[in-house]
Amino acid sequence: MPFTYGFLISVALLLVVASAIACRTVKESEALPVAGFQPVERGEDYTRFARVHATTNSTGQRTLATNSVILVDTGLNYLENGVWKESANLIESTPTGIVARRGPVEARFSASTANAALFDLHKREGENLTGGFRALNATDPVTGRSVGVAHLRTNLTAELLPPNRILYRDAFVGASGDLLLEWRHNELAQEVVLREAPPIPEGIDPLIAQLEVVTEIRNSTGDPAFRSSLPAPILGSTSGPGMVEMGSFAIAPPEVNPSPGQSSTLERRDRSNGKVSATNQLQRLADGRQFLVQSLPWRSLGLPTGRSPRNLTPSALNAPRSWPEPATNLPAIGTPKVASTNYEPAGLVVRTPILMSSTLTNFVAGQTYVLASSYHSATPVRFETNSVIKFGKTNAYLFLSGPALFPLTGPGPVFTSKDDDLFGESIPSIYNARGDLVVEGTDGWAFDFMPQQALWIFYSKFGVTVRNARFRWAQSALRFDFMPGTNATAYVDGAIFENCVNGIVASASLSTISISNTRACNVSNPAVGPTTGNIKYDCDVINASTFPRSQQEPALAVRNSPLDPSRTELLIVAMDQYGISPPGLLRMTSSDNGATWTRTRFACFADRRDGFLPAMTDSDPEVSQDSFGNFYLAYSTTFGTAFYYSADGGHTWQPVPGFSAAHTGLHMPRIATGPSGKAGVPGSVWITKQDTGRLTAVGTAVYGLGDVRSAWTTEIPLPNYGAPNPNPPFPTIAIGPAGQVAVMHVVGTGADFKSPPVTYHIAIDEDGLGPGTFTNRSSFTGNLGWEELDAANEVYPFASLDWDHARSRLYVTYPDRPDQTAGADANINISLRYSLDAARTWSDRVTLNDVSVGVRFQPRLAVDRASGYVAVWWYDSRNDPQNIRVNLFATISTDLFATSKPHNFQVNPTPFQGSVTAGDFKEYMSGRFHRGWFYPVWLDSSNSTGNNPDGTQSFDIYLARLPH
Amino acid sequence: MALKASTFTSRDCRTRSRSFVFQLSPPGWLHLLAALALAMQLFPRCTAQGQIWFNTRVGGGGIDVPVFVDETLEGPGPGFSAQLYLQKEGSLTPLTPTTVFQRRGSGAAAIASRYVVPVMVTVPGLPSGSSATLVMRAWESALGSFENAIKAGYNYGESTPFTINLGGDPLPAAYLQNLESFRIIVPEPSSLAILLAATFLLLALNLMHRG
Repeated sequence: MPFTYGFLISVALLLVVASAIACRTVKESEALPVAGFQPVERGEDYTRFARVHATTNSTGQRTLATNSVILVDTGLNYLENGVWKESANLIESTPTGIVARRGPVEARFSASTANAALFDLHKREGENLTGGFRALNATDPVTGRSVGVAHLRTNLTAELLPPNRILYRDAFVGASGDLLLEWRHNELAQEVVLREAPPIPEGIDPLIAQLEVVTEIRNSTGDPAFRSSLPAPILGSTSGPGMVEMGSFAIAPPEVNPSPGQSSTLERRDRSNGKVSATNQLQRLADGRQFLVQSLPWRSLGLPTGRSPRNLTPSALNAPRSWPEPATNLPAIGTPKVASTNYEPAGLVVRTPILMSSTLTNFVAGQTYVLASSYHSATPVRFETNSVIKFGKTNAYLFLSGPALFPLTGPGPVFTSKDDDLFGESIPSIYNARGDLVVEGTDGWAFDFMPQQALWIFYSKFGVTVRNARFRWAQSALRFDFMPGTNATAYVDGAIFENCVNGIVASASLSTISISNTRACNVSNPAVGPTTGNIKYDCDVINASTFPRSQQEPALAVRNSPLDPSRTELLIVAMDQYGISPPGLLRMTSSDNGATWTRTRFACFADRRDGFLPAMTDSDPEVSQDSFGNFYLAYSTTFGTAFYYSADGGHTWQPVPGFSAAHTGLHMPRIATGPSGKAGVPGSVWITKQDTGRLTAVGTAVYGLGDVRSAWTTEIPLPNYGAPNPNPPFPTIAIGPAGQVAVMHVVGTGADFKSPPVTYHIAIDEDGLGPGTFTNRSSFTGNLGWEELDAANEVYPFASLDWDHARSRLYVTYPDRPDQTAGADANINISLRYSLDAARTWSDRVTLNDVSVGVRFQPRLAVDRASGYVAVWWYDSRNDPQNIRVNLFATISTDLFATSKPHNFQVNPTPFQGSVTAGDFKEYMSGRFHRGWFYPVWLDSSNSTGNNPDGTQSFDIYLARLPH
Repeated sequence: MALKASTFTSRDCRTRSRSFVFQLSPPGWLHLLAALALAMQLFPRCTAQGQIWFNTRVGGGGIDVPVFVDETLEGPGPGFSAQLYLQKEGSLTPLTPTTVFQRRGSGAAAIASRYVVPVMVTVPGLPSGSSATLVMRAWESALGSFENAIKAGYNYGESTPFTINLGGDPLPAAYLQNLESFRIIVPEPSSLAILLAATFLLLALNLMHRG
């Protein structure tokens, strides 16, 4: 029996423990071991940081989870006596010589130039690479003549520049300059610093000549895997970088730049891209010596450039040339000393990085990595599902010259900026053991921290296919370099490019990239260089309605589930089958960010059993959400404005209590939510009421989820609208950070009050739900009236307003013409203004469209409250000379419109148009910008998703999802 | 209680109207209420004639009432006229002016032919703010009138009656709130035409069979 009791108790204890581990859900009262990131695991090329993270849902239940981030940095740690230690960028002078030994690679340096090898790199496994600078040549690519212009002095003593540099001052015979070696735990850089241009030998044309930096190298692993077969001498190639791989080492293409902050006659840069083009080549001589030859145009040294380099002739490729004499070890000269003064390179710097290859070759599923520096691997690298690789430096990149393996099905790996918090873990600030900042933690502003290139695939004989990868926030997302002159194909399949300047960049002329099933969103240049196949402009467009006949006038609300804040819930309401069958509304709800939808037709005029007031033929539905998670729905009916709210994501609805729908004709209700402006009242919801001849707005108190109360403000007509103007005022409403309410409407001129100039009036209720009322605040004019166009039946001067609470900026966008005299055939622009003083004054208008051709209409605007980013989107006919078919275009400002014309991007892949069967675009579309996700929603008859029941004959409600 | 009639001139209406001045005696307030109610019934309010903005599509105004030709999605277009009628005591009084439907555009504007060219319509005898029940009718202009179209038996249509509150000074003109979409009746093939077509088809099939 005692055994039985003990056994049962043990089982019970185990169950309790297992349950606690499985759920990791604890009560509020328990102490929680919430801590910051701590290093928990180290390897040669990585350190894993982990922390316990607690989240609380709306019911007060807290859940613990372990988050981890892996810092990737080649040679980050080294093993000493069985213990991992952090590498240091430190060169030490020892009795046996100059050595850097605090890393997985030990580097030895010559105390003087008397030695044949200036550097000697040892992997601890016994592999090594030795070498050093030898000479500068001038080569004429046309004649093939190559002449030495300078060589290394052999009587120089090294100067130490603590902590990690070695200088050979005045290192050249025949040229003025220095030789500098800089050691880091993952890279040795040889820098040839030229203070002035060497004299050009006679008979060599400086306009086409190449300056060659010749370095002798030797390795222990036999033949190098040289991945660029450019024949000698290198000609005026503007690309064609070569990577010389030798076991665990790789010599990267040279970087040529004027030294920072230095004035020099050599600072003239190449016109093409601001940087001097330079290439690598490797030459092996019959005597076994190997020379790395790095070439750059002589004209980049600052000499005048009157004409372009001539093309290479085949005969020049095989021209004879001379090489430096074999180096010998001479008697040592002096001992190394610490430099007496600091040293900064002055002049043109030809920098040659010798990289260490990483041993981290598996990016595992669901794990977040952050790169502290460039990563290089010549061995197979595997990217697993949902792995997230973030770039912690703008010059960090993944450099692969071996096979790369991607998951066959998505979602695949994500490559993005360290500041992109929408994917993977948010990156914390990471310091090394000495307290130096290795990676600065995320600030959430990814747009200003984009790696120059994210994934760089160098020519590989392994037939690389980049599959199901997502690239975000990179200047160039995916770069391919092929062996020049060869005919090869790489493949990109199922990739996504978002928020990048360039998508795919391919640098070879004969090889190509084959693209399939790939899309881009907010990418200026989706493909640069030789590619086949298309990259679709597609911001993850889905068909939300998939209902027969047309749906129109969509409105969107978004919230995070109160029970599970990681889950995004969407609500769209639109007119259904307008004009065809009895009017009704279509409600579309999704609890998984649009992956699956529930669709319900309701408020049907022919069937009033669902409890909703029946819709009219043109009910102008509007939905919104508040910070508590309530959804709101309003639409016009013959009985007045219907106004409901839902606390469960739009599945069930209740009338907003105490709302008075009395009217003589109510149209286009608009909703806004926000602070109340009244002490003790946490929130408010406001609605515009557009009655016959008057415009009003009323608000009531909201205390929480499902707690909307009847405490309505007094309904008073807003100024500047009424008889004899018969036209609708197109109201737009927003709530400010202090609960103040802004309502804007538009009034035209002329006998019918429809002609330009129109006046946008804005009224403010300064105290929100307080006793104050709306007063006229300001106005400005627009140059577009009510106009009939082919691209839309009629274009209205309908503005869209939103308020950035954190930055107290009020934005408005509206369709506009360049000036009041522009005729009806002139193009329509999208204008934007903002106010920094709650609508007392307005900025000059900013034109948002980056082309003038075409017609644009129905602009909508939304501010992401978290980041302050502003999205504006609109229909745009720029791709159709007939101005009939349109695409959805958008722009997102990340700099508060400091840039006057932000980049426009096409949201949907296929143009579409209204028609007799589809109808027209009506008055408005909708969208939100919610916690980093941009969701425009619009009418689309393109059937680009392939699931419109009527093909291209009707409008369905399309939604795009751009994580920005 | 004594009741004394008097007259005054309305500054607003510029028309001389009859009204009453009451001299109260206990329980005068009851008599006052009764008299007010009587006055409101007997005398029209002192406002302008009712006005309607005869526009079947008002962007942002909640008015979007397309008219279709038969079972198609096409609108009648400029060859068709449209007119509002005031329904009162079982009869319909045409209101002027009439209008026509817009021409068909391309793309999204292809639906313009479903909507009328907007005009302002005055309702004689009913003041601004009063309620009116209306019917909208449409017919092929070449037929001359709605009545002729009915006689012809095709190319006409009318809405179900609908009620609105009239606009007009001081109110803006009323929209066609509550007007519902309707369809134009087109000629049906006559029995003779069907018989001829069937005969022709049989003959054709017979010839093909012999051939």
